[in-house]
Amino acid sequence: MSQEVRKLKYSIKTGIDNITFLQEVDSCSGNIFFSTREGDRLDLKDQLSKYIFLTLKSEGEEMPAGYVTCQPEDAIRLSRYITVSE
Amino acid sequence: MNYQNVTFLQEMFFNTQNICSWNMTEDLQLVYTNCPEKDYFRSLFSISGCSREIRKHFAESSNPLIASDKIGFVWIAAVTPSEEAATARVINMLGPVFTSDMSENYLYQNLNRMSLTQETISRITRFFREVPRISRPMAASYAGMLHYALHGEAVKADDIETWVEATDEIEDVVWGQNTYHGSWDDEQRLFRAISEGRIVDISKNTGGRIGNIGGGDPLRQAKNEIIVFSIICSRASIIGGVSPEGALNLCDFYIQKIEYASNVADVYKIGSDMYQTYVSRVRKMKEASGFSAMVRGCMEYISTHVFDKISLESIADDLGYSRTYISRKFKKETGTSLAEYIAREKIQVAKDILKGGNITISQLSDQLNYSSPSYFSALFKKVTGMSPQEYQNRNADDSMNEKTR
Repeated sequence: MSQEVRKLKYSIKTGIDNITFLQEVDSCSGNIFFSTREGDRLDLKDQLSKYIFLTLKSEGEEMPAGYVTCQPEDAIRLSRYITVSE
Repeated sequence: MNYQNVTFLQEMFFNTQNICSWNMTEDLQLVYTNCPEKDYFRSLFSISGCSREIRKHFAESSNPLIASDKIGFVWIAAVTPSEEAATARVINMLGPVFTSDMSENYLYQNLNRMSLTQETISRITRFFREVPRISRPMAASYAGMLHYALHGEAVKADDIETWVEATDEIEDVVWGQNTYHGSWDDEQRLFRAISEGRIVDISKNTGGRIGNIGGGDPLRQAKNEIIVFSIICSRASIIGGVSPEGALNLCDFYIQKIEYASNVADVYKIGSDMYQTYVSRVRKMKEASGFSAMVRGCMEYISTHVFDKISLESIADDLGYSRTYISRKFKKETGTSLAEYIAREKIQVAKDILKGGNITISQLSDQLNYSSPSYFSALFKKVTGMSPQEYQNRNADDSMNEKTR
């Protein structure tokens, strides 16, 4: 069996509560990355990254275009906030 | 509580300093804010350690609190009095502000370490540039003003508590000073106070600030500031009567301590302890002015060499008198034998060091040049009535009680 765990890409659902989403991220076991289409990559467990994430979100009504990558078990934990995008 | 005062204060901070006000319930539900970007900054506040700490603090205390998160955002908080039972308590906050020398260079360095596009970096720095910057003493003043508006009575500087969110890396961005230079008059007043052996409330001394000397690194900024302060203290104490050698030895001692500090809060604590030590030395020299030059010379020698092995022989060699003469004259003028005086001075220094924590009894014994930790401990107990460990534990408990009050 392959030891590599494939990280799926997830979209963030619209209308979520950013605060509870980021708080839930902290309780995940693995890293949770948010990558924008422009090429930014944020480690959402890092405080400054969280602030940047909120700053990007605050500049428009919708989430900035991008996706979340994480381990499957963390995706289950975050299922209220994210959905598989591919 | 005078609501008009609070409202006036909130409007004043917003219109003159661009500092937002927030009224929250004790479980941090928003009641009111004048912040134009309320959702954004409320989110930042909610995900930082500051929100947890402010809620916890006001569950136990009515003292104002200055809370800083890992990035350097600072929130100044005070709470309505609990005597007003008709209404639930309201936490009044000002913020966020930066009190550190959160220079753009420094933020830029952190942002450049991350995988971000240049456009995102520019957006973030532009956004953070809008956050007001004030000095740490100003933050303490504002906390005092907020408390006064809510309680109708002044709060002591020591009762304004601070909390700093632990950082994982060296980006300890919290406490530092703004880049502006303050008042020369204030600096002169502080210098004069030290040379006269007077303690002044240095948190109220909003002037005499040093500019940007940390290269954008808040820990280096704090260290360099307190090192400069140590030089000012040493010169002022020389004017006050402390010998140059004594003042400079003390300066060397504190500069080493400052360099070993690993966070900004510790640096400022060392600065505060150092300031009090210098003032105490000046006072002692002034009290000793009634003694003969020989006795004053003995006292100064002991003060200067407190970390060395001091003997009657070494004092006599230094001062050029016979051992018998020094011993007899010292006892006659002071009522204390030289050995007892030396022990008292070393134990006083030991007590000051033990209050700072982070030292074993064995290390302290070596530092003060005692032959063995057991001898040092016995002497400490003889002078103070308790062992060094008991003294250290008691001071640690007192410090913990202060924090949880």
